[in-house]
Amino acid sequence: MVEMSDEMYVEEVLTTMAEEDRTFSQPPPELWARIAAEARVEGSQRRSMRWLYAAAAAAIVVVVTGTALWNPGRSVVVAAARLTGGDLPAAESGVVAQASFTENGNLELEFVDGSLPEGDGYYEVWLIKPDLSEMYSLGVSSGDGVYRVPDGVDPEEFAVVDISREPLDGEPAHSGISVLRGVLET
Amino acid sequence: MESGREPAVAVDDADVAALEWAFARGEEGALRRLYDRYGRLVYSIALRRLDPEAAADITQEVFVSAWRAHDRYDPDRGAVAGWLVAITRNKIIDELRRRRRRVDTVSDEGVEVVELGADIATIADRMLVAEALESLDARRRGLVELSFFEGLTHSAIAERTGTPLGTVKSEIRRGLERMRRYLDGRDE
Repeated sequence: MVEMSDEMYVEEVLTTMAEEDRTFSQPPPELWARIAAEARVEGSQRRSMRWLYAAAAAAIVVVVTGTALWNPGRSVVVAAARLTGGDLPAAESGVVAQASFTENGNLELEFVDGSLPEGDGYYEVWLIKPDLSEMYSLGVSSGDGVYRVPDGVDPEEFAVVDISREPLDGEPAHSGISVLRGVLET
Repeated sequence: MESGREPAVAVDDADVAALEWAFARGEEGALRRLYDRYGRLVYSIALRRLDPEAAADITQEVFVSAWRAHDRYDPDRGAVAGWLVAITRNKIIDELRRRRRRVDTVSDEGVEVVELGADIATIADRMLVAEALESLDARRRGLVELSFFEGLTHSAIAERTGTPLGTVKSEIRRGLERMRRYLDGRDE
């Protein structure tokens, strides 16, 4: 097997290249979903570890901001999460949001510091089990907002609040790109 | 089918470098970007010796394996495209060996595997270089094509394109360097 990769070899490859070597075919459109599904299972361990750290951080925040948990102007907050982290410039610029699960079954999102950057695609809000085995989409986010959580979805069970950036590809699954996330603490 | 002769957009070095580092660090979203960019390269190589269904399976295996092993990829040692192609090559050989073993258990397997490996390696290298060629900007790519596909001398290219001879030489050299970096990625 030829393994040399000097300039002469590059020239040899170029001069022996046929039309078929320059003809590329696109893989079937559903292939990405298959890869994402398999790779996501693979990556969940690492991600849930990060969420564990986030949970620890959130617990501290809840203690510090405990008085903010009950806001007289609104319904009673039964669980709250501070959303930070993520992998996009939003995180680097220090965007922080507060998620509050209220007694009447809503999730309220409030951006306490900064806002989601504009860009391609859109943002989607999720409630996810910490082991990533199940998740619910609560809808599209464009900043502060109130999201209805389906009755019967337990915020203690679906404790991870996640905001993802989604490409406009008609693919309903989570893109795997988490911009902000945190863990609900009762 | 998409012809390699009409690349839509040339992507510059900075974009490739950003993708390679994001992938090496295992950043979320990097696998998607990697697949969007190199899915067709991996799939097209597999398609040369396998049916579309098996080629899709191989492509899936390559990207999942690559994601698991992302921390073993080092952008300083070569392009991620080459690294992916090395994985692709091995997966195709494994698949073909499995198939041959099923149909012909008495063949001289040692010899066959060497031939098989050489055949896949040649295809993989050519398509990898073709991918690198497509990633060059239009001018540089055009000059490389005139030199290697039309067989023109550097002076003839300078004359035909109205480009200074020194520029022709340096552009082609940079093009070849990019291709070499793609090939470097596949060396373990």
